Amino acid sequence: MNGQAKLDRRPVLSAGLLLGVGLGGFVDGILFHQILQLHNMLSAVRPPTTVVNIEINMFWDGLFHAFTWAMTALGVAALWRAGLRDDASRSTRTFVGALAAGWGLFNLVEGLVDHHLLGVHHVVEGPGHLKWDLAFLASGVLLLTVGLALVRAGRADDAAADAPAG
Amino acid sequence: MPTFRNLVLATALTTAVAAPASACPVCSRPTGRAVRAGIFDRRFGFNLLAATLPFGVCLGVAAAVRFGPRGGGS
Repeated sequence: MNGQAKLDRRPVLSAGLLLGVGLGGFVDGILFHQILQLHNMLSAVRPPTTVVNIEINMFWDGLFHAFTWAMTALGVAALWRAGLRDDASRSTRTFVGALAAGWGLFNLVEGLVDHHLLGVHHVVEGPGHLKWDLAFLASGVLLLTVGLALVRAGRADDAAADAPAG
Repeated sequence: MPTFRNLVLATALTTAVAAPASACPVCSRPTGRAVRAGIFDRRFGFNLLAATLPFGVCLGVAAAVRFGPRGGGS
């Protein structure tokens, strides 16, 4: 082992990250915005208590889902391109790790920007929203940590694939 | 056939009086106009930033990974 893998991990890493961001965004949008209806995109500034405010939030939720869809589509395209390359890593641990890291990255960035920095919504609207916002950030850190550990472990898969037969 | 006729009648009535249809952002009803005004108010740029910035940051990270230096082996 010379310490330098021949396989390129960047294509599958970036594809996994994009797909993780997209799928993580869909979890947020579908589970929290639509099924549980804990918050909407602008629910801290336009509480969904009137038809007009509900419709305005629905518009911004739709825009959020459109960007989430775009990230997922970019991830699928990146994964397809990675699959066409002979020198791209095919490590499952690297890919799953990148998916988890992407989801964690989304929770962390979206939480910091929308919940804390801009304050357009909180995970659970109401006086006790801080603990839920912090739990959301913690889930992002956890997913990111697990994902990066898997990505690191995936190096062994690439090293094994690089090793000459016999 | 009466069942089918009742179904058509119920569908037509539901469609005609559906409140959400008159509240949509492209509807030219008072509620629709209020929704449109609420979307394109003076906070529009700020709200657009809130909706796009997280994805922009994540896209930047993915691009940095894809086009950044190639990592070493184990």
